[in-house]
Amino acid sequence: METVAIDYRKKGVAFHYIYKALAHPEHNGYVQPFTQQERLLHVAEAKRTLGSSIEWLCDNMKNELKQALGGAPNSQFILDPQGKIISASSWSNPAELRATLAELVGEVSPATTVPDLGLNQLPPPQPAAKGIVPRLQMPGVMRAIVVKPQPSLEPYYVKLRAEIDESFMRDGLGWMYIGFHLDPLLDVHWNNLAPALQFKVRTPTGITVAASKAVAAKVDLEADADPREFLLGLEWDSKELSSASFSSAELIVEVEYYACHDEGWCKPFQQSYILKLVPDRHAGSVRNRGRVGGGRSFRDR
Amino acid sequence: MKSKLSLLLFFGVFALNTVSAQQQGRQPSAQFPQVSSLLGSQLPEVSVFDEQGKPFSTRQLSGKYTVLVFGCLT
Repeated sequence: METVAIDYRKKGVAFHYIYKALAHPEHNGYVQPFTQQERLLHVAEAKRTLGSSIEWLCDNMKNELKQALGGAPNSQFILDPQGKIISASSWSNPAELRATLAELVGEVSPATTVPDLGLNQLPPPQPAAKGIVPRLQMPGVMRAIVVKPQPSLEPYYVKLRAEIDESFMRDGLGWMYIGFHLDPLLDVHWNNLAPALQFKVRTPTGITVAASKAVAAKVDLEADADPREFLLGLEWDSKELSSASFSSAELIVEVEYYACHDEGWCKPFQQSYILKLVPDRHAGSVRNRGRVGGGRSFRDR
Repeated sequence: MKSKLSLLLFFGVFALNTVSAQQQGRQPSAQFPQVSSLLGSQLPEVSVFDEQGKPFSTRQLSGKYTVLVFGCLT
C-alpha cells in the first residue's frame, strides 16, 4: 500500500488508513482499546510499527464509519473528487488499487517497489515475562460478548475480554470465558508480590454462574504479563428470564488487582464492568490464543 | 438447574483438553456484500478523528481522488 501511496500522491491522490476496532485481539499482545484516547494510542503505535507515511483517521467508539462502509475489517475504497464511492473492495488489494488508479489518473512508471521504501518498521512493545501462566484451552467455538467498562478514575490497565461458547448460545448451558489482559500500550505488569487478581460476578435472575468469585493462581515470578483467565459454567433458565429480556440482562464483574508501571509505581485497582450475553460484532476474534505473534498482521498486507 | 450446572466445573487456570476456539479462518469477502453495494453512493458523513485526536468530518474527504483503507494493529 505504501508504494501505491508514494506513486499516486504525485498524481494528486490522497491516502488515508482508517483505524477501527482490533480484528484479532492478542496478536502481538495488543488488546481492544476501551476509549477514544486509547484508540489514538493504537494509531500512534500503528504509525510507529508500520513506518508508513500514510495518514490515519480514527473511527469513533460507536464504529460509525466502519458500519457505514459495510463493516469489513480491511476494506478499501476510492472516492472521486465529489466524494462519491467509485471503487469498493471488501478486502484491500494494493495491486488492484494500483491498476484502478492507473485508469483514473494515469500510470506511474517505473512503480516504486517495497525494497525502494526502506521502511523503518519497529517491533511491538516487549512486556514483562510472558508464557509463565498456562493459557486456557477453550471448550469450543467462542464468541465475544458485549463488555462495558464502568467509569473509572484510573485507566483500565487491565482489560476484560469476555466470551461465551456456542453451547450456551444454542442450549442456554455452556461456558463463559473471562480474561483479564494487561494493555501493553499502558506499560504495566502484574505485581505478583501482592495479592493475586480476584473478581466477583453478579448475575440477574435467570442466569446462574458456577462460581460467583475467583482468585487467580499465585505466580512465583515477581512480575509477568500473562492474562489471568477463567472459564465459568453458565446457565440460562428461560422460565425466570424470558427470551425477550435476555438481550438486556446484565452481569456485573468487579475486579481487584495490583499492577506496576514499568517505570515505577505499584498500585491496587478496583474496577467494574457490565456484561451482556450477546455477541459484540466489533470485538474481533482471537486467533492462536496464547501464541506470540499469532495470526497475520496488518503490516503484512 | 443446579444439577445441570454442577456438570460444569469452574476451572480457574486449568486447561481443558478440547478443541481450541481459534480455528476460524479469515473472513471471506463474500461475508461483506454490503461493501460492493456502496458503489456509486456518496461517502456518508461521519465524525471521526485525525491522528492528533481532532474531530474530522468525512465531508472533508473531497476535492481530489481519495483512497481509504480500513485497518488496525492486528
